[in-house]
Amino acid sequence: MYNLLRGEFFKLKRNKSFRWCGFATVVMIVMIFATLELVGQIMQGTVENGTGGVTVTVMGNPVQEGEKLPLEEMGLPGIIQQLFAGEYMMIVLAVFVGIFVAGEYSSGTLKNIIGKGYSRTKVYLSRFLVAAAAMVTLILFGVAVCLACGLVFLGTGAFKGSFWGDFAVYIGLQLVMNIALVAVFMLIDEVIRNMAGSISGGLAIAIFATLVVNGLDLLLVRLGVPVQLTDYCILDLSLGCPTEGLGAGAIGSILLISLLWLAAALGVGIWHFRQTDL
Amino acid sequence: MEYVLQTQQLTKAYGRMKAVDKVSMNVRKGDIYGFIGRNGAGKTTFMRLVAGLAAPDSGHLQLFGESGLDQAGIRRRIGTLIENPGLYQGMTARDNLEVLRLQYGIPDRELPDRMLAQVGLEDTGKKKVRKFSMGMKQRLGIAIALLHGPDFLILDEPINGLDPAGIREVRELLVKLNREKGITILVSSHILGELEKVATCYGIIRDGKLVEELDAGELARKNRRCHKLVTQDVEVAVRILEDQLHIQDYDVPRPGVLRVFEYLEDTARVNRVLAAGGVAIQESFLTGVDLEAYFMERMGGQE
Repeated sequence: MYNLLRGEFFKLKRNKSFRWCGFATVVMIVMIFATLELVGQIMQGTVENGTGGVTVTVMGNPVQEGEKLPLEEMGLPGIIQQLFAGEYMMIVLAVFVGIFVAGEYSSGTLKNIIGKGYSRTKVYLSRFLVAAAAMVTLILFGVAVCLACGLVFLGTGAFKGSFWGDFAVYIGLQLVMNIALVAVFMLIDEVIRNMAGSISGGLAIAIFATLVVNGLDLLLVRLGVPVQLTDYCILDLSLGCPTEGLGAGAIGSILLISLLWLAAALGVGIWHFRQTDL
Repeated sequence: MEYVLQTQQLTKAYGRMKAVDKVSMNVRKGDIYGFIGRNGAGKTTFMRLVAGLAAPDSGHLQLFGESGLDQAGIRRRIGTLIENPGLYQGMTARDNLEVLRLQYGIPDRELPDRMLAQVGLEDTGKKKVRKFSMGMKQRLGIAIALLHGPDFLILDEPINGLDPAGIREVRELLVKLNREKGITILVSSHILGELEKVATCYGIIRDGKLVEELDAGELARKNRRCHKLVTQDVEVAVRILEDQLHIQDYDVPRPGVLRVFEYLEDTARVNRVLAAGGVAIQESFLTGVDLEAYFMERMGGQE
């Protein structure tokens, strides 16, 4: 297993998609901050005089004087939350895992390992562990960039109060949930076994799964079933996780559901990998 | 007799189609086993079963006398190149070997460079595999198969895409590995002329079935130059030739066909003797079936 992990980490180091995902994350985060800052400056300009015909509305309502600027309104926790609630990290995850994991099927490189008699369970787990490590790295990197931008655009005031405590809980939960999501996307890749198909399938899940789950919830309400699937769907939990005010019970529930999803996705994925021919 | 590979009734079906149908093959230690068959005959599927990439539906498989094929120790002794080489397109040749060196747990850091030199890819530098020619990719695939010093090589069409110089290099490499290091090789190829130069035994597969296994000596004997006679009175013809011309070297490969390996410079005499004895000869001609014709006949279904 140690040797397999060494090889996987070597591949990760040489993997350009990993670096491009990191670069895209930096660009996106900086653009979010810059855009919101620009909007704020325009708001400050247009309240009295207007600026080159540009007007600013928030939720369709014209901006009133004295209203909070977007950056202040959202705050640093809100912007960090957008990385996850805005499906950005999920899309990056679907694309990266598709390239890193499913690419092995398209290139035929798994033959070189499976043909040597390595346990298929260990091969699958080693690929999962490295993909998960890569995602954790990307998330932490993105969060670090957010914090740096927060300091630049919002100043030290953004970090006051209960920020660090809530931040640690939120990021910790998102890391656990996204590790489970790595297992889910890896299962999709294992079934599809084609890089383009896996990326498409992963993106479809990332973008549309919550819509489907919400629709099913409406159906369950209609049928009088007292269960809400959104409470147990790992994607909904990640997208809708609040940045503050989570009690111990809610945290425990999220962790348990994440671990169940992780175990189920890994279990089914390993079973499928062991059963099917390469 | 020590066998590196033995299969008994190995079968693999995809839906209703049996890609490998009760194949019982024996590969002796030290052989270069030429595996021959048309496209779609089952060569690659069989090799995938042996390499552990697919599971057989039934039958038995022994490698180095062992049946417990999940043990990494046994499979580590095998190097494979099956279908297209499995390569990371975005990496260099050296990095492709380095990944595997790490995963195989080989401590020798210089090994990838030596392997590249052995297959003639030492000058590829930072060129990515996606820019390699097909022949270069094939060479890298062979390097991967040899990386950990296997005792048994399974090569599926290893000279695909190679130019004549490359084909000769691979051929010489295989012979060298076999003779100097005692590596047993199972190799499939469509280029029968090349196989003939290296193989010590052959297996012919048709529609998933192994129709014949024979060694090179037996093949040569079957295909040597002869006087071929087609007649319904084979037994009478044999008796006449034995009594009158004292011919001992002949065979009857199938009903109605007599092959005589003597009197090749005087076939007219043989014909006269048989005609005088009342044997009706339908065809009489000199022939030396070459390897390609022999295999085409065996692969084509004519018995």
